[in-house]
Amino acid sequence: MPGNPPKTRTIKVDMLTRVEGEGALHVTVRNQQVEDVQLRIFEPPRFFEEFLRGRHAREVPDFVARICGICPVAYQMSAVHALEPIFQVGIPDAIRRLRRLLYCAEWIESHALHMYLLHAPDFLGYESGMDMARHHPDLVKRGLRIKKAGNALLACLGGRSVHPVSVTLGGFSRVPLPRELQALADELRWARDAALETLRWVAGFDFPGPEQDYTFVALQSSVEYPMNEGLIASNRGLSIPASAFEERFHERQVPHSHALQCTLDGASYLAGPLARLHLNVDRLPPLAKQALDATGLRLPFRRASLSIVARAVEVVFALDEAVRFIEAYTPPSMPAVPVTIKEGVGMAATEAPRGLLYHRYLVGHDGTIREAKIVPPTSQNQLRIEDDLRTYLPHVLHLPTSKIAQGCERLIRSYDPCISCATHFLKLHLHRSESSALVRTHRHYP
Amino acid sequence: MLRVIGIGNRTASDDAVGLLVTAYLRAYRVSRLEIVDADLAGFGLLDLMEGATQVVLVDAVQSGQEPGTCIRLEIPRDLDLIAQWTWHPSSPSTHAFGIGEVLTMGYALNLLPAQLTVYGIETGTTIVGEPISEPVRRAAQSVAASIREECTPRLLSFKSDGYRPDSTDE
Repeated sequence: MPGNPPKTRTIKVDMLTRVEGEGALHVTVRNQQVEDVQLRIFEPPRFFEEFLRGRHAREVPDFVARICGICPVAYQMSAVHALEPIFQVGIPDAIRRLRRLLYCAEWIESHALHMYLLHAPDFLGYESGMDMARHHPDLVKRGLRIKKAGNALLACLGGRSVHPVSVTLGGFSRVPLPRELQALADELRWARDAALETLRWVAGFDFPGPEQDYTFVALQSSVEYPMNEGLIASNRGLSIPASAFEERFHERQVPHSHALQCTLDGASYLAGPLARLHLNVDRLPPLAKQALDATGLRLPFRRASLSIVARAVEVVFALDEAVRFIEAYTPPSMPAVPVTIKEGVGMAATEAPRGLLYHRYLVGHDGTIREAKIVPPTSQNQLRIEDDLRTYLPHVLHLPTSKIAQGCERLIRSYDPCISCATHFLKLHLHRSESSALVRTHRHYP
Repeated sequence: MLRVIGIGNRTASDDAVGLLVTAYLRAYRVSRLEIVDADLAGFGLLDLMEGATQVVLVDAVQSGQEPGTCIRLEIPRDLDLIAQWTWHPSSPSTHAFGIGEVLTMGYALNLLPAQLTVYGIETGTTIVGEPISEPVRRAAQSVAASIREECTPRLLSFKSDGYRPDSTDE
């Protein structure tokens, strides 16, 4: 009616659940048009890049492991791969492969947790992983057992399953004995079969939502499914070494978020399992490739919800690589090659479970870190999540606000955002009201 | 054999309380007691309980009571209660779950030991680098003493609705 003020509707999710860390979503709709979408990350900044300054380069792997409890290996791997070229260290193949094994362990435990306890409940219509466990105990047990197999491998290589301590410049402080890895082989073989069942299971879900025209960004390798090596590539022709990352990728601050938003040539892009799979499907070994083909699903996957299938493929891949590695394992002649500290600057990107993780370090002549830059996957996906929501929202505006909020939250969860990583957070306040119980957490971390 | 699992973060003041209890128990040299320290709750807790028929968990809790207040819960009887309070997730991540969620999950999956008792000790400060506070230290001593009693044939009975350790029992 003429003269009426425009109708404004606000959709709010004040606390995103089943994501790592503290974030919220605010959407403003005016006259049935989506006016603004803000993924608000209010997890306080953690200043890791600042407090790495002045620390010795050799300390970096242990420090950065503390950024995340779920993907510490990723931080350690990006750090050593960024630093080692400065010191002109050549890493022997045996150590290179052990590092991949360590990364496999992290992919397995991180992906298994997300698929089974955080993401699958959305497809099956449960409020939470606990709720799902009541109705599908065997499925959840299977997920926990796969995760446990990953954790055991991580503990074997890293000394413990969270914040591993064995990664050093040049290699490891200790490498496992063949019998230590052999002891895990049977369970990893079981997990590989369970991962194949998992892939069949998740491929049968319904994948809702409009299709997106993603710019996929991930490492791409000519010889293997990438973890620590390869060029940073996209499906739109990008192919650059990590040393050129900052020429094309730019972080910017936005008022509504404590995490920087990263763009590629000014636009959003997608990092993570979907991007990795899309750009490297031909490098999947036969078992994982055939299992993917057998699902009948065809790439490219253009919905974030399909990331659960990509994760399932990657768990098959990681367990397959781990089993084959262990079967042929002989320890390297020494756990690490000697490293002589020099001054210089080094960059690297590796593939964290959630996607590309870029590090750059400037090392002074005394071996201390003068400058550090860390760009985690969730910062990179932040704008992509907002763009995804902008495409999704017009399709659901006719629904009640609570339903819209639920759909948005589900879409965000598909990305498995790790908000703590994105802010390198120090302190967590969690107010969750998904059930009648109000859970408040207040913790401080070193 | 009774397995006692203390959960805590040694660096975070009162959050270390679960580990302080296990330290006291080690000092008591109680027989028939298996003592495990856990710096992480999460689903790994289910693995730590595996194979035991009788388990006591000790963790820091925030339930809005005075620091040093102890809560003793029997699982599964008190599962609803356990969900009402904050049990420190003992990991900088909601990807790792607090013991309320873990035990709820363990119950649903039929993975809990036949007898499971949880002691929660109300924390004051959990600031990194601060020492453990006096009321919480006393509570830890009192809980350790109670667990030692539980290991002896004559079991004491406790109220599940909370009690304050007697501040004069120093």
